[in-house]
Amino acid sequence: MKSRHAGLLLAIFWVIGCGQALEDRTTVNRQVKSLNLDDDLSLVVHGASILSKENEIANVDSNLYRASIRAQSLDVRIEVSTGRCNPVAVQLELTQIDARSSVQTVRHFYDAQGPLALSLSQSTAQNLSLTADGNSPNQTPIDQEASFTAEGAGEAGKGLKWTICLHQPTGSHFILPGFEPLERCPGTVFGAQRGVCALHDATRVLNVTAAHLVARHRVQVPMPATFEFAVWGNIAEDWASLALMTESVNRAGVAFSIIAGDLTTVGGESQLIRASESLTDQLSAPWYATLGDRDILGTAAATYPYVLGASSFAFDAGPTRVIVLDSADRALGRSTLGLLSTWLQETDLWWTTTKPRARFVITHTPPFDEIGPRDQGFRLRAEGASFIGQLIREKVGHLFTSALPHYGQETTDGVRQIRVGGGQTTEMGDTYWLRVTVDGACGLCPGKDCPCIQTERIAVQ
Amino acid sequence: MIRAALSAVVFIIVGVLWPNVSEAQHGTPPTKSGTDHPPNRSETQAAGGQHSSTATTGDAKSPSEEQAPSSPTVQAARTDGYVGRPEGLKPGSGLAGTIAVIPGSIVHGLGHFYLGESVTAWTLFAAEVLGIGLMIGGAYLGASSDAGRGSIELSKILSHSGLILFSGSWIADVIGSFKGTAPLANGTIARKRERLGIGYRYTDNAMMPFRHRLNARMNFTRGHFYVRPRIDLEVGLDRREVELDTGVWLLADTHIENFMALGASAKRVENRPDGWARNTVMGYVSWQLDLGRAIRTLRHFYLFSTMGYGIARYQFSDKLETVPGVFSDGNLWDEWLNLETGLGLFIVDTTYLGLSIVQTPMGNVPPGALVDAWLFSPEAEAIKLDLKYGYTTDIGIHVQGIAGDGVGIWLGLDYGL
Repeated sequence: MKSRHAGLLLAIFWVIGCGQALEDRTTVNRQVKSLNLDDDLSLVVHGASILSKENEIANVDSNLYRASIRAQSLDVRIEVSTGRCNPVAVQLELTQIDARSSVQTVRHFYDAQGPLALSLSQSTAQNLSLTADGNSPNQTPIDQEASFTAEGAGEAGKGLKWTICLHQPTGSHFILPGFEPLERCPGTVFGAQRGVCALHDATRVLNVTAAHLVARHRVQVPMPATFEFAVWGNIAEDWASLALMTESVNRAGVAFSIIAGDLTTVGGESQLIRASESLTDQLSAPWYATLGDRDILGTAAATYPYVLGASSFAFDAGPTRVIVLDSADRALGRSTLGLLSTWLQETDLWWTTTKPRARFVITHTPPFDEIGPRDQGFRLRAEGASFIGQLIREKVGHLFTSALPHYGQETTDGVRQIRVGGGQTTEMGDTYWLRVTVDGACGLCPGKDCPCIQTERIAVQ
Repeated sequence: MIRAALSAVVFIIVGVLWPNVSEAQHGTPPTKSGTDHPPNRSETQAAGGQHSSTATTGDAKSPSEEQAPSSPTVQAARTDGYVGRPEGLKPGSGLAGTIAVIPGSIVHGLGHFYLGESVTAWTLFAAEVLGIGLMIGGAYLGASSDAGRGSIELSKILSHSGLILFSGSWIADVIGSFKGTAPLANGTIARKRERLGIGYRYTDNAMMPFRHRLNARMNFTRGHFYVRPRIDLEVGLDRREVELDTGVWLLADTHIENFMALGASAKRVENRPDGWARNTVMGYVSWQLDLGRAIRTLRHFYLFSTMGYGIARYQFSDKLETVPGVFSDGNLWDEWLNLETGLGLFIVDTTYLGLSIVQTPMGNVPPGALVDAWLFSPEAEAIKLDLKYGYTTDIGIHVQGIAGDGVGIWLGLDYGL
């Protein structure tokens, strides 16, 4: 045996054994959280994902930009940051938010701290009494949190549109409802002098050139003390069942729905888009989704973030925290397990808040298959054990999965695992969704037997 | 990509074989090995000697054609003891091997058709069709929403067998076409039955953080019984594994390469960082068979398989960095199937090469999708390559590579006690 042959064999094994998919999606999930609109102009979101690709940003006029954002929470944070000396306008669209009840506010900051920032804030804010903002501790506020009006607010639609005008040297800012050109932004800096940087040199002696002007938007959907949400999966292009399902979910009046994967049969991009459009058209409340193993069989594996947003995400709903994890590879990966650990242990996600009193974890794939030899759980049982072990230690009461076709549940050391299964009509006629009722008024408890959290299988066929 | 990688593996195996054949070819004038070795051994070398002339021309000629000319060189060689290729032994061909690769990857057996080995060719083609059928059948059974436990287990076995038949028939076609009907090396790794082994294992995948591990194992055999204790430790002792494997040899003939064994293994795995432990018991049947008994171009080409069924019990700790005791409570039970099937051959008398497909959720490397056929894809599996070298009867070297959704490399050293 020649040593070169052995070396070649080992090299080939290295090439074959590449566990890239998991890490690739983790990276993509991070990428849809921020976007450089242009030099010194960026967009960062929390509790949402940016659907616009970098090469698709509309720059219809100089210094006018547009981005579409998909909410993946009930309390979205959007930050537009500019370090440019000329004024800019950014048209923002936020979808999958309940526009009827949402509350929109904005606050502006200079992205700086210390004595320089203090003098800056004093000079800019004049007589305003500004306090540090716990949600942006590293930034210097230049105004108070104020509400703003977006197009679509108070309507039954599912989206909000507004245009934010910003001028970094003067700290000028303005919000217009809908999509508007830069010319519609009021004030001198947004008017005749726009685009002329040199005229603002006098202002820039405050040495704010290094500090970006940040507009921090908050779009929040207040939750009642008692609310319901829906969980199901396996749409898999069964459009007839989907129509029945959405009708049933709408009748129940849930606050939001979680689709736990398998929106498509073989992961086609067009299938994913159709499923997304159908859900948006048919559901009256916002919906959020992760991927199933079918969804990564085709091109949708690469394009999903621009349709669904990040495939792993977490958000707070009332006194509870909902954690949705991408297990489409029948695995989580160490990075996703790390995210889970963070979301379970840390009180704040992106707004300061009180510690959630109950947590729900949702994945497509169950860590263990109820029939072991079928092997429809995680590909590596050791990872399944690490996952379940983490839920047990953190006293997570509920784990919802949808990969297995039939409804069922079992409890492991206090973690109730519910197979919500089926949005797809099976040979046995199972089409149902899981209604989760959270009664925040009764004082939530973490375990599976908590009376404040009720789950119910709702059959629609 | 996997398909391309498998092609590359086949090419390399052929590349490994080819020089050995060539060395034998260019070893003329032959020695009197025909009288010094058992009949099948002289047959191998004689065939190798004849193979030389055909391989360089790239044509496959019948033995009668090749025995007809008697140039002075051949006559001189015969005078020196060269016996020529025995009647009925057919040489391989570079062109036949190439045909077996392309377009033979689509229609398995084409290389053997070119060689004129039509019975073998049809057998390989039938194996391919059967393999595809089994994979589809397995997928169908597994996808059925009302599949019972029996159907599910059958689905797994069908899927695994189908993948083996599909890929194995192609590999057999390629190797047999290049090599002809001359048997492969019939070597045995002569080793003592009581052995101590130590090894180092490296694994890299996105699901497990443990990369460097050391292990030690022993092998005791008494008559038909064997016992193999083993311990495997992550270098920081974050993951600890202890196993006792025992069983009985059945149907072992004079060549240890043909055998069947029934065994059971008990194992405990402790994962300190994530605070859990797992106790498992698995029963298994293991066998190996010389394919040359059915396909004459594959003499001393071995098919081996292990099929096991295991039960696991998990224990969880309340804290990270601690592991529950062996007898502490554990409410999570699990079962699994362990399937491994592969092909093996002796590259030379002292070196064994095995290539297998492994389907188990309990391994060190997560299984991946070896064949991407959308919904009809077989179950997730890993490829395992074993290279065993018998340096002396006392010392053996073992290199193992596993590739799935990640890689693992194991370097081991055996010492006879």
